Amino acid sequence: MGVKDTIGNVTSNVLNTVMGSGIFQPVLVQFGPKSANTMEDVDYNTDRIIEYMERACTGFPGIDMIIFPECCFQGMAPNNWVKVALTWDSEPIKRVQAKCKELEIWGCFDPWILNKERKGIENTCIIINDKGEIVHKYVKMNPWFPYEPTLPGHEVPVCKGPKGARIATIICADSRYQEVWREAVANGANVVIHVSHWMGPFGNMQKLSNQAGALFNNVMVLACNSVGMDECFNYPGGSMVCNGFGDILQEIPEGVEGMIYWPFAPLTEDVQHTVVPMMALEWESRHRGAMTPYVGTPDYQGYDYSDYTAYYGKKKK
Amino acid sequence: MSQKENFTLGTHYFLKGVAKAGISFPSTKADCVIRARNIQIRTDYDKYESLASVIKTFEPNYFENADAFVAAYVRASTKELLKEIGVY
Repeated sequence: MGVKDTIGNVTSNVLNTVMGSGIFQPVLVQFGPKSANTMEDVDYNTDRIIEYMERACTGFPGIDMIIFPECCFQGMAPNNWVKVALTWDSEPIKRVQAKCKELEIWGCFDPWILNKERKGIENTCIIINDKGEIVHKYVKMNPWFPYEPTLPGHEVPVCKGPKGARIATIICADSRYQEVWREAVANGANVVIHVSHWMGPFGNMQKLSNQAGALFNNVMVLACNSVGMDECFNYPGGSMVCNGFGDILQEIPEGVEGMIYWPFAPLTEDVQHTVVPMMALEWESRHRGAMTPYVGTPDYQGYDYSDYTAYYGKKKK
Repeated sequence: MSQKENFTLGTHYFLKGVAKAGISFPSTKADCVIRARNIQIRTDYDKYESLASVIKTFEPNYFENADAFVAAYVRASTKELLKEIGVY
């Protein structure tokens, strides 16, 4: 076999995995929801979400997943946002479930959900699989201080996604709290989806938090932000894909709706964490100083988190 | 005369069918057709076809890689479009 054949086979193998399993193909939609004051406005946004789902599958045929920003169904209309909360059996939720099934793709959406038991609204990021089933619900743990009166969640769950992806979702202001990122990775995520309705003039904060979250946790980040203008804010966009070093791999220009597509292999991230020294960042942070004989014995490999007073309180001297 | 709405998702469903069939490359057309049997793909708003029948229309008998395979699909589809306007 000549060099050309070898290169050809390697290329073919790469293409094979694109066609088959191994390469996760997400599309992020930088979307501008109408600020919904009525359920008709919510229906309008839902129509546009479905248009984008078809557009993404037309432009990037064979994709695995489509991701929309926070508040994609409802926007965040002052005062009226509570009046357009959805329930799990609402028509907009059912419509995107049916569309995911029809297109055989996974979808990530963020509706305001009315929780009657908790007497309030939960800002919830959901993932729907390619059978149309809701397989992931994350309730925002850090509602935006001091203006977002939604009920905070208690955990950062991770769901098994397509092509070896283990996905955690975080929502907007969450991204400013490092604990949420670490929780996602500690729970096994190799991909973090950050959906946001992040307004200007703080757009750079959104971008930096994506890069920092990726870097500090060595994890792929798919960050999808809103764009446009409502009654009070402009939303700059700046949706991006970051690798585990915090590098921006792809970004949608600010101020316009648009889509980005970034195929990658989540399993490569896993292998990297397992076989490449200096890459298992989350493990390292739970095994501090394991290189020294004193704390690096076979039974006791380094110090864990318990020295951090931020989480465990001040030590008695 | 009403114009038929444009179905733009043909390639998407084609690639979904290819993934379901487990087709990988390099491969012969014959092998692709065997793997594609029993797979139905949506080719229009109200139309499904067997993946095998679609692949049978491809001209090459061997696909060195996925690019060659998808190019064959696009070529066959384009030929059908050209037939509609009388070029073929």
